[in-house]
Amino acid sequence: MNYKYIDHTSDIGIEAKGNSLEQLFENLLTGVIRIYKEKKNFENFSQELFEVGGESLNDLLFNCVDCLIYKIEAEGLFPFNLEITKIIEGRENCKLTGKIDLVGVDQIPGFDNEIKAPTYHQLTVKSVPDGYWGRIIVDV
Amino acid sequence: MSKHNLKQIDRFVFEMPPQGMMKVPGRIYLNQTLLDQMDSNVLTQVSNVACLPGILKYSLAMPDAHWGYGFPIGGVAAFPADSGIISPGGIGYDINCGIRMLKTNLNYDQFQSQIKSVTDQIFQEIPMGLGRGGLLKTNKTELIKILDRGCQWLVEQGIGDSGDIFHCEDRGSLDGADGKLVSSHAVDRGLSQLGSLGSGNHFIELGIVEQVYSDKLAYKLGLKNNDVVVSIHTGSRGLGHQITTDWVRTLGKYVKNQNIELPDRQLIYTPLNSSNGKKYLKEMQAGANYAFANRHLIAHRIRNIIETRFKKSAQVELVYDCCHNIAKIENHFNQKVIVHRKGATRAFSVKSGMGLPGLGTPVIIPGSMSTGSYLLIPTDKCEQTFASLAHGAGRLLSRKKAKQAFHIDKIQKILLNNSIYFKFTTESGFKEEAPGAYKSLTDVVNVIVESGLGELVLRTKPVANIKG
Repeated sequence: MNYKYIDHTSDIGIEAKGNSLEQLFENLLTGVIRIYKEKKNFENFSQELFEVGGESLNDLLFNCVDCLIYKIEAEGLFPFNLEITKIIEGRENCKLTGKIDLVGVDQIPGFDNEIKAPTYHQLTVKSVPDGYWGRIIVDV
Repeated sequence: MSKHNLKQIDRFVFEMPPQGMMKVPGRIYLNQTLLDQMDSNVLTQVSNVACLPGILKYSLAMPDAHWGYGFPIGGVAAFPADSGIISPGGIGYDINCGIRMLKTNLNYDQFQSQIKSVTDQIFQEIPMGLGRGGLLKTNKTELIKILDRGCQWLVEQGIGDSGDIFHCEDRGSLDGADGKLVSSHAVDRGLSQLGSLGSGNHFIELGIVEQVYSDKLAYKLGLKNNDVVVSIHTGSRGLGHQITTDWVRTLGKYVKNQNIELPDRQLIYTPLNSSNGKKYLKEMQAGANYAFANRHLIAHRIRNIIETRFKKSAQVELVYDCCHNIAKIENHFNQKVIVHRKGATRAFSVKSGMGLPGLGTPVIIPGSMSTGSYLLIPTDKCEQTFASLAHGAGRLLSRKKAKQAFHIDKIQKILLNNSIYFKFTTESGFKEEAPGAYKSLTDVVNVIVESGLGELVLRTKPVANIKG
């Protein structure tokens, strides 16, 4: 596991490290996905491009989680795996590109948990001597 | 912020004197046990809220307060309606998450043999967990009407009756809501979930009135010992969550552009009378109406299940429906204010003329899966808390710790030893909601009663519990 869940009384926090920003985001977002379901392999899945923007890296992470929740609740597709291929960090504009593996929500007999929303509470994305470190707390 | 900063000013009231950027003191209603159990992050959050511009009198925390984001869960704060602010962090993502209690004309002896079958049928028919749809298939046009008018629109369509409206906080519909403002993302999330329980701490509980403390007040509510009751705890589902997400993002930009420094970005705010403030209020009210409608639909289905099983000899009526996560414009201390309640219940005494005739606004405080609920009537003293009381027992352990601490067999044993039948959608969610993950409901209620804020009416005991 390249992420860890941290204590938060009413919600769930995820912390991760990465050698690159891409790896950090991939680890954090994988931690988010596994809150829903630990299972990593599904048959009959589809793959989609995953593109998200944000004004800062914090906004980008917040928006990524929001996009994943929308996929699940509004489109009925569970992104059980993801790969982040590129993050462009601009001064006022950041952009993430990747791929997500999707399976129909109706093919999953039961989710372990449901995330209501990402929060900015203690949200952090920062560079550290050996790469990047981040944390996000999600409302469940 | 440390517990050493607290000064005990009354038997159950602890005050945090203003320091740093705090504009008012913090006030927390506690006994020593609850104080010992309280995470110091709650104190930091009470202190953070006290720094918000225009905050009136105190940054308050109810006895069940625990660590949240922005405001603590159990946090209450009021701001002037004409010049104050509104903050999504003081309301929470699950707008109008709340509880409603239904009463039946059945007693335990009549109901006992059907507890399992009724519970199984409710579990089967009420969508719960993720991706299981909702009870009402609707379209965007109808959904907007529900966002604008909540339960009132549903009753006009023949779903439920006038009693369902009358016994609801704000009669099940917040004036001013404007569903057309709600984003398409929020509508998309809400369309398929109307009439669904969700997961986390949402539940349906069948119980019996185990102890009546005030015959007079219980009689006014139409309840007596051994009556079968049903409690439903849920909120505005993905629609409400998305409204808040949208506004946390939007107001974050406002705060950044204004160079406002916040100790926690979830405390973002905007002046209530600004364009954004007015829009957010209308959307938040639309989310609240969705939540009223959501609980109404679930209650209506449960009513049908019980009435069908007991061949129409049964009657199921609403006792009351309370909001927990909401901001409302109210009059306090001779001033129009906007009260933020995040994980707190509105509590107006009979003198206010609010709520139910001769009662005020009843307060239903549920505990964990094994403890049932208390029903109270607020006293005039509740004006001290901007007419607010606790909303539950309050979490003691994080979800992670609860999962580590409680084996599923242990939880099942506790429930079975208490003769509580149960159903749950996921083992993981069930463990997170283990009875031991919560503080003592009795401690919370004792603080309210002994500090003179509420009068006990009755206590219920669970006989069956369904976890979403």
